[in-house]
Amino acid sequence: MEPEVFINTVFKDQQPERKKLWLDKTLQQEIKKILGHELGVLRVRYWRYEKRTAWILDEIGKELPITVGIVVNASGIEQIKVLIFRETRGWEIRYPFFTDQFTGAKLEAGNNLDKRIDGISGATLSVGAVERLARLALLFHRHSEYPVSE
Amino acid sequence: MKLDKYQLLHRLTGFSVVIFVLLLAVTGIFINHSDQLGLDNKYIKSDWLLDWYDIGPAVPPVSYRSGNDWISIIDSRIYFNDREIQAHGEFLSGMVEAGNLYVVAFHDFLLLLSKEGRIIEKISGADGIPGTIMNIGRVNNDTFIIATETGNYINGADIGNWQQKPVMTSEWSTPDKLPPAYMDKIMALYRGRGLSIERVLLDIHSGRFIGKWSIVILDIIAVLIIFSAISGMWMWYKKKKLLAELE
Repeated sequence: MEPEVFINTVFKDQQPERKKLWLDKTLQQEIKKILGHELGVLRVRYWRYEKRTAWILDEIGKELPITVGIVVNASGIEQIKVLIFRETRGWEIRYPFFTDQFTGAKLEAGNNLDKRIDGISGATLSVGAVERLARLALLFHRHSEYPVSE
Repeated sequence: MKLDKYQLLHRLTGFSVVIFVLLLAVTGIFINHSDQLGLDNKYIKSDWLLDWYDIGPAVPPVSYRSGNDWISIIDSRIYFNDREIQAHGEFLSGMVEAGNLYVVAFHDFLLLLSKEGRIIEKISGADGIPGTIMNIGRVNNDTFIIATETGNYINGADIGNWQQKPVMTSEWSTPDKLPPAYMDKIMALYRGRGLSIERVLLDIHSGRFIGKWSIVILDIIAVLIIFSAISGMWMWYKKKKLLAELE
């Protein structure tokens, strides 16, 4: 699914605002702890309508970036969708049996998810990438104007 | 054949395969622990090994210049002047200045770079890019134009809404020849991440490292190892039998 189609599907008839989140030094450090490396950009764009935000984020599984769309609302993660999968292995992460596990997940201490996510045999690196992006989207949402209720 | 001749043959085959057995065992241990040792993310620097594997780009690098700075793509890896930046792309369409930034166009996204080559932001299709970007040009100090299959659109470095316009610039970004000093540096960087230690170990272990004769050579070594193992057991049995008869 193309990222623009994902955003249109998520917000349907609503007109989300396009916002920018600047990543200051403190936030960059938190990002590095989650990803294990720098994000490589100084700001990210997101879409917001009322208390929902949507994020399009990339993370490398083994060698190539996986593009994931993540919607966060006041209760945590509302939806995760793998939009572009470029790796040759680990494509099973696109299926709802995996992505549905993230629904309702929030960040707890140490920026970890408060839910256990079951992995997929043979897709360990891709699973890890999506999990990191889920934590990142929750962190970004926390720094946006409508944070998840703690 | 007498037992002492078998012993000599066994010894000769044993000595001739010992290096290969050690090589298989040592590379096997490293391959088993490749993930823990991160061998798939550690790269060979040796020029002769990189040449042996013929490591190089599938297509020649493509470069564009804006002011005194260059953007280049080799396969999907991106370079600003002589250093790699943390981005991947498939088709580079050009680079222009807009405000105090550079806007780098790929077919399906834009990169906003600071003048020092730091990535400010990646603008993807979800941000309303109106189609596949075939080219990018400069309209004035703050505004740029992109050519897509649906028409030409202008925008500023803050990337607001796209406005469709007729062609209104002659400053389209065109491919240019990267200075040799930059080219040498980025090619060295590209080759430096082209061959992992894990791949070399796998090739040594499987025999592919030595090329098309590897199958024949490995077959001969395998036969020698089998002979060595069977002859060893046979001699042990014969000696045991002889000793029993002597007693």
